[in-house]
This record gives sequence, C-alpha cells and structure tokens, in this order.
Amino acid sequence: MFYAGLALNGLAIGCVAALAAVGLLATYRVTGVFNIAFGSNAVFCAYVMWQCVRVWHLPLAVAALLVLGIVAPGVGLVLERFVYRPLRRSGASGLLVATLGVLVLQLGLVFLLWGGRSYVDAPSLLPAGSVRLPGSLTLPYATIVELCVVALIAVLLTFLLRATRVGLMVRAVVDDRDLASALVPADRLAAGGWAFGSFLAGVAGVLWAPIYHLDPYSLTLTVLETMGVAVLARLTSLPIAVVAALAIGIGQTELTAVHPAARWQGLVDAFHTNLFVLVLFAALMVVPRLGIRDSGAAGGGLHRQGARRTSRVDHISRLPLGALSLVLALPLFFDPADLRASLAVPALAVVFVSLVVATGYAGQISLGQAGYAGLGALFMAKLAGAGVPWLLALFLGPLLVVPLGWLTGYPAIHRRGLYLALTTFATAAVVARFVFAQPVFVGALVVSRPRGFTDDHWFYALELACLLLALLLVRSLHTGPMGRALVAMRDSETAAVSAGIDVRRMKVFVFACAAGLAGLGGALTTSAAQAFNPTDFDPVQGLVWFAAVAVWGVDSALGAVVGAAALVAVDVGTVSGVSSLLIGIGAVLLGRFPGGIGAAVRRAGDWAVRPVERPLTRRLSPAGRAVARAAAARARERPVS
Amino acid sequence: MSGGPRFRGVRIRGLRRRFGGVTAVDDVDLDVPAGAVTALIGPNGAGKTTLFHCVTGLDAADAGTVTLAPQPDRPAVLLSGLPPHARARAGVAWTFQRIELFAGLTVAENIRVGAENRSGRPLLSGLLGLPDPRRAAVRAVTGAVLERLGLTALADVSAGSLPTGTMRLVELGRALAAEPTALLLDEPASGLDDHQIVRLAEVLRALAADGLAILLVEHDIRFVTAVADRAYLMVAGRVLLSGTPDEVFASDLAREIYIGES
Repeated sequence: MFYAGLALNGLAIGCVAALAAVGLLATYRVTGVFNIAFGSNAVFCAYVMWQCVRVWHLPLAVAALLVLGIVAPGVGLVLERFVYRPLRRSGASGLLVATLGVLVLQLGLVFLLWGGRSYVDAPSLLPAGSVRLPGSLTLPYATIVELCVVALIAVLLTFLLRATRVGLMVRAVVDDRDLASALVPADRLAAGGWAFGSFLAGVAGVLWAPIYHLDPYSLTLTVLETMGVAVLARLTSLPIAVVAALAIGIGQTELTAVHPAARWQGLVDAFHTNLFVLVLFAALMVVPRLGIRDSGAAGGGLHRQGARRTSRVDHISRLPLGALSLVLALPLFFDPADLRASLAVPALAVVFVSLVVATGYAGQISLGQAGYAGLGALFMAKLAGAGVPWLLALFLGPLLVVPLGWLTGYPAIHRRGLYLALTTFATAAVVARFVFAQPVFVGALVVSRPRGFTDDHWFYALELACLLLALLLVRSLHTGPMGRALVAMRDSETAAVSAGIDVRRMKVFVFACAAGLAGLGGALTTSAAQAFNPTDFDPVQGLVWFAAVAVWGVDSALGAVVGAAALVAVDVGTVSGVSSLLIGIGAVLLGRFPGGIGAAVRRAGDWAVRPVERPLTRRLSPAGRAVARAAAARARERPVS
Repeated sequence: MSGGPRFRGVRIRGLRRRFGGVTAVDDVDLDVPAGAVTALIGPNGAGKTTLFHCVTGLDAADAGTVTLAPQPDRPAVLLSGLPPHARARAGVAWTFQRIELFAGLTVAENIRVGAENRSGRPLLSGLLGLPDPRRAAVRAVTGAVLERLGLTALADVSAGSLPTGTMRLVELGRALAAEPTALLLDEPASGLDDHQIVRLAEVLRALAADGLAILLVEHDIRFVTAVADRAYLMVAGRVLLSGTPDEVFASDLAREIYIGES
C-alpha cells in the first residue's frame, strides 16, 4: 500500500536527512575527514541562532547572516588551524579521536552556555504555508526550499570538484596533503574545505532545529544516525546519498500506515521511528568497504608508538595503585549525602576498564560500550524480577551480555578504524532505540537493592569488590601469555598470525569480555541509582566515555579508574558541561600527546627510575655493546612523534 | 625430484594463483625436504613471494595442494585450506620480507610469543590467569633460541629499537621458537652486512643439519650458493630449472636474467 500524502510527509523528513548526509559527504570530500562532529557542529550553530533571535532579538536575516556567514565557517577555520592541521599525519584513528573530541567539546560548550536545556521555539528560516497539489495533497514550502538547497549543494559541489582547477587542487590536498603542499597552497585549501563543511553543518542545524526540538543530545544523535545514508553512498556518491535519504524518509512515513496485529504494533512503531538507525546498522553490515583510506594499525594513533609494556610488576606501578586504593576507600567514611555521589565512581570505572580492554588491549575501537552497559543492567533487573537472588543476578546479567558481545563483535573484527567505530556505535544506537526506549522491555523493572545493601556503605564496598574483580580479570589480559599475545596482535597482526595466534578468535574473545565487563558496570550503575535510566546508556554518552578513556590513556586500566573518579568529581563539583569540555579539550590535544595522561605518567615514572638503573651497556658483551650503541643512535635519529 | 613414501618436509603440487588476467604462480611442483636448504630464485615479479604466501596461507591458492609431512611414520598434514595460524601450529614457521616485529615487546618476549602460541590454549584459562602447563618448556625453548642466535645479551632490549640485522635475527628466533618442521624465509639476507650474512649462513646450515626443512626466497647469489643444497629458478610463475645452486646459476637462463638484469 502506498499513500501519496504520507510520501509527501516523508519527503520532508528525507530532505532534512539528505541535507545532513550531503553535508557530511561534502565535508569528507573537501577535507578527507569523516566528521563525526558534524552533528554537534550543527547543534552548536542552531543554539547560537536561537540565542541571536530569541535572547538578543536580532532580525532573522541578520542572525542568519551572522551564524551561517561568520560563526559556522569561523568554527571550521579554528578547528582546522588548531585541531586538524597538527594532526594531518596521524592517520584515520587519530583523526577519529580528534573529531570525537570536537563533538564532546562542542556538546560541553552547549551545556555550559545554555545549560543543556532544550527549546521548542527555535527560529525557522523557512517560509510557512504550503502548495496545494491535485488530489487534496499539500507540499509545504519548507520542503521545496530544502529540496532546492540539497540539490544546489550536490550539483555545485560535484561541478566544483570535477570541473574546476580549485576542485582538482582540493582533491589533491585530500588525497595527500604533504605531497600536494609542494604544488598548491594546501593549508589554505584545507582551511577553505573546513570552513565550507562547517558552513554546511550550520545550514543543517539551523534548518533542523525548528523541525525537531533544539536539544543537545537528541539532535546530535539524529544527525549521527543519518551517517547510514553516507555509508550507503560509500562516502563517495552524492546522488546516491540524496536518493537514499529521500527513500528512507518516505519509507519511514509509509510504515505509519502499517497496522499489524496489536501485539506487533510496538515493533512496527519502533521501526518507523528509527528507520535511519536500522539503515545505518544494516548498511554497515552489508556495505563491504567504504571508499576511504583507513589506517592499517588497529587503534593506531591512540597508543604511544612502540610503547614499552613490561609484563613484570615493577615498584613504580605499585605506588599509584596503593594511593588509588586509599582514595577509593575514602568514601566509606563519608556522610550519606556525599557517599551517594561517590556510588557512581566504581560503576563507571568498571565501564571504563571495559573500554581499556576492548580498545587498549585488543585494539578494537569501541564506541558501543554504552549499549552493553545498558544491556547488563537490563538483564540484571529482569533476572532479579524473575526471582533470581539479587547478588547472583548482578553477575549473571552481565554474563548474559558476553554472548551478545561475541555475536556483535564478530562482524566487527574484520573492520578497523572508522568503519569499526561506526559499526560499534550503530550497535549501541540500535540497542538504545529498540530496547532501552521500548516500554515492553524496560517497563516494570526491579532495580531496588535487597536488604543488606540498601545501606550505601555496604553497597559501595560491594562496588569496590566488583571493581577489584574487574581489575584482576584485566590483569591477566595485560600480563602473562595472553597479554603478550595481545600486544603482539596490536603491533603486527601478520606477525602474530605467523606465531600461531588465532587473531580473529582472540579479538572476538576479548571484545566479548569487554562487553561483559561493561554490562557489570551498567548493572552497578542502575543498582546505585535504584532506577533504570535510559539516558545513562545513551549512545552519545558512550562517545563521551570513549573520549574520556582515550584521554587518560587507552591502555591504562588504572588511568581508566582515575578517569572515572575525575569525571564524577567534576560533574558533582561543577556545573554540567565542564567535564565534557575538559574531556573534549583533552581528546583534541591527544594527537600531540599519544597515549594520554597514562603514558605521560609512565614516562615520568621511567624518567624517575633511570638514574637508579645500571646503564645497559655495562651488562653487555663487546658485540652487544656495539649493537646497543647502534640502537641508541637509531633512536636518536628517529623524529620525535 | 626427491620423494618417495617416507618424504619429510613441505610438498607443493600443482600450485596455481591468478590475479585477474595474470597468472602469478602457474602449476608449480616443489619439494622442500627436511635436513636441507632449498632456495627459490628468480627475477622480480617471478611469483616467488606469491608462492611463499600460498604456502603460509597469507594468500589462498586457486588450485593445487601444499602438504607437510612432519614425521616419517605419521600421515602428511594437508596445509591447503587451513588459515595461516593453523599452518603455523602445524609446524610451518616463516619470516617476512619487510620485517614484522612486536615493537612493544622485548627481544626475549618476541621469541617467547613464538614459543607460547604453537599450541592453542583455551582462552578462558588464560583470562582466569590459570598457570600455563607449558610454562617451563616455553622458558627452556626461549633460552635455547636466544643462545643459538647470540641474542642472550639483548634479551631485555625493546625489539623496536634494534638495528635491521638484529631485527632479522629476532624474527628468525621467533620462528624457531615454535620448534617448526619447516622454516620459510623471505629474503632473510636483505639489510644485513657481510659479517651478518656469513653468520646467518652458518645458523641456517646448522638448522638444516638438525633436520629442519628450509625454504629460502633470496636474491643474493653468493648467499644462496653458500647456504642452499638445491635451487629452483622461477620465471613468470613457472619453475623452469632446478639443481644445485652452482648448476642453476651457471645455466644460460640464469645468466641472462641475473647478468642482463644487473
């Protein structure tokens, strides 16, 4: 059954999606960076627009000129100069983390400046009213204008890139900036590309805000979900992106006319409201390869190159461990009000440790830990509701997440860099929309703590025990044969295979372990709050977590624990937005300090013990000494990266 | 061609690999017997490395079989169709043309990884931190390999900071630590100085004397002559000549290729 009226409504939705997708693709085509921060950039511009019109009462035209003509391109220029230009040699993973950092930073800024409030009175640039079509159908002017904008951008960009000298130079810069810089003004072209991309984000944001609510998280997520369209177009074809976006929009509204048996209605509703998420997920599963150069090293750019990882426990690493245990035990002596806030720390720390396992140890960028954390919480609550003793459910629930992690991790293992990141993010988004947002699943959950653990002191102690357990499990992934095999796998997959390591199985195994750990963290989070709160496990939240862990050092479990404590402390101690802002700044700077804070501390530790250690050369034979000298010379020759 | 029912080593039969319209390896038969060094020589683009990858499993052959006969009294293992790590566990070890080391590990740890993973251990027991039953054996093998290659003094040095020649030795050590039946080396002498080449030749001769089946893909004529028992000349995907290195290098075809080329 096809309804023309519904199709026209769908066209409106599709148009808006096409606008975002075309903006995303255009940015990619002119900068070479798949800009995950496109959504937050759009949101930021939309908020500035709201401020100009609703608070400063500027005329609409002036405000539009200010936002789209100055603010949006300005943001792009600033980001290019201070974030992306210094990172131009750091590969796909480094850029991915940087874009993620920009996203978190911009969200933090929105929270800080506007308190994260959502507004329904975002000013609309589009004319009201609609055209009457035969058959008592109407087509809003707004849709027509949007269609024209989309077509204009697509045609203009295609012409610019294919047929002009500037387009050729832009393509050269995108392809190999270093090489191109010898022939063309690469920096200026790249800056122009970013200004243009940022301008498109501004257009998308300003046009979107009046249609959806102006809300930092949901609007960012909505834009992120249109990435499915970009993936379908394999990040190359603008026409495919436009057609796909329109088709999905129309499909979405056509589905509202489907009325199956009552018990399935919820599912159909979930489908038609979340078709874009599904398309993102399906596209990532189906499209074999993106038209994209991806970094060869899994998780490269996050680790310090050739980072020395001893398998022995040295005294230096024991010191912070002791101090950390003391600090973590302190809340046990807090008064109830302060203790309440501290309850979030161990729970979040377990989730962070799971990120270290997936990304730091296995080299699998995982933006989907929020999904697994939420599933762990959900399973625990369901089991507790079914009569399983609470303490047992607390561990059994997360254990049930492990097979799901295995299942979803399997397609992910063939992917790397950006593609892997998108796949894990899509998984979290699907879970969030189809499970956490469905009353069928999250209604009537039993999440209250049983007798004995209603007292926060006892519960906090239990949380600490869980964290300790997690750290102990993680230890065997870090040291011993398994730790060595994982480092080997990260350093060179081909060599790891030649040594007999079953790289695929190992990756999926570790990924599934990480999912289980995240589930435990989620179960603890929900138990601490005694309520299943879907916003705790929002996919965008997962992005913030990833950035936070990256900043503290993606291969440092202790760093993850400290990071969780710091995040909660900043959130409790300051206004909302500060923590995101700090994490964002950290992630943006990460390209210059590979390995994050964890590696910096380790470096400081290495430096501190150096005078104590005997010089290596004294223990060597004459031949060995020659080799060591040559090695030292080589190390000196290498540029500091 | 040496052979018979009691053959030990790697046996390649009818191997073929096509890339689009180009046949990189065309119906190649080759034996790599235990206790000898077999060299595969030929000009650039002859298909040597493709053949090498088809044996290790890094590339999938379109046709033909690769078998490994580890013990005289046991049936041969069919390697074709197995993934690379399974071939490694079955007893084939190899090194890379472009050095691939674990830069984040020490020299000893690099070698240890080779020894540790030759048999698949349940991942769960590793996660739970259960003691490895092979721990003592792994230590012994690692120590022996370090000793044999003269790397003991460098055991605790980070592998990423070594000079090229030493890196090649560490790579060889990692391959040997798995106690393989067959050892495949892709241009092991490139980047080594004369002294190191002599040393490598000695090591390879000694390994062959211990019963290892060694296949060498190499350009260096002097090195091949010094170390190989038998050489195969590969041109455009086909094995055109075989014999002792001296015979092969003395042939008109080899002269044309090598002298004409350089």
